[in-house]
Amino acid sequence: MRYNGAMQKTRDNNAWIRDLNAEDEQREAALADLHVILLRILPAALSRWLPPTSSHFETFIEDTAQETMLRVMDKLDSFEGRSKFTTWVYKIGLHIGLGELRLKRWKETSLDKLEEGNEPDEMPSERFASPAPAPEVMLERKNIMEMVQRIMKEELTPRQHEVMVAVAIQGTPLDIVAEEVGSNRNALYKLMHDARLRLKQRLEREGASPTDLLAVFSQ
Amino acid sequence: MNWIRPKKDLSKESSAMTVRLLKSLTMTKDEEYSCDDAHALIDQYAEAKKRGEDVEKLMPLVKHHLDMCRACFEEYEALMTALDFEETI
Repeated sequence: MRYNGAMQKTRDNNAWIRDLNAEDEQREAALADLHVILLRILPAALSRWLPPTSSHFETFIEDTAQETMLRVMDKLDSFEGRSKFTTWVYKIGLHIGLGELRLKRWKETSLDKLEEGNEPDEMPSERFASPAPAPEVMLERKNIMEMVQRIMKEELTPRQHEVMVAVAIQGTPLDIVAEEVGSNRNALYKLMHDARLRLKQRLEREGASPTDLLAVFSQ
Repeated sequence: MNWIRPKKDLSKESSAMTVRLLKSLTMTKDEEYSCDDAHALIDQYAEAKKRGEDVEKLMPLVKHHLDMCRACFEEYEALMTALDFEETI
């Protein structure tokens, strides 16, 4: 048995599973070690999204660590050992932590952005190099926008249309839309994939590939 | 639904929004991983990336999903930060 500087037992994957499946003190010790690890790793990994100077940083990290340990114990049987156990734990913790932070960030900033008229998450590459394209290019762009909107209405179900407008056009985070419609990110990604395929195939049937259309907007 | 922005007329969508949609269509493939599919493999993917392996070739569907899904990409970035930090302790 080896211990690191903080007197934690150093475990390989088999030891983690064995100890967390044990009873009483052996299990409690493993959970305590996992807690210590999470309290070290989560702040470093999440600091880009939640500055350590934030007033609720410590509470958030502790809550995320606790939720992570509950989720890990619940899913312990599904761990297949394809990565280090701790890496598997981190991905669960970061999924929980970032999910919470995205919801919080959106609720705090969406009203401000609405008032300012900004688009969320807009990438610099989505803006145009030329602010004043030639009139014929402007007309072509207008025609493309109208065609895309028409095809969206014709090809997509009402639910697909709503989700595509919110996510793919307006840039609303998938988690936010999922919460609003009572779904989850995975289901909405699948719904959007089906919607994107329909739109792509319809455009191609009309002899207009997305790549060619996109080129008009970079002229 | 309040995630559909008020005062927004779809007929006046900006060019930037159409570009955003068209870009996503150019990247659309017949077969794609869902968020759950990618999440199941992201720990292996991150460790392989850390080892310097060619993850785009080894796990192209995970790479494609990360290119398509901002939320999953953020989780991947955070996981890589965690693995980097782990090496320092």
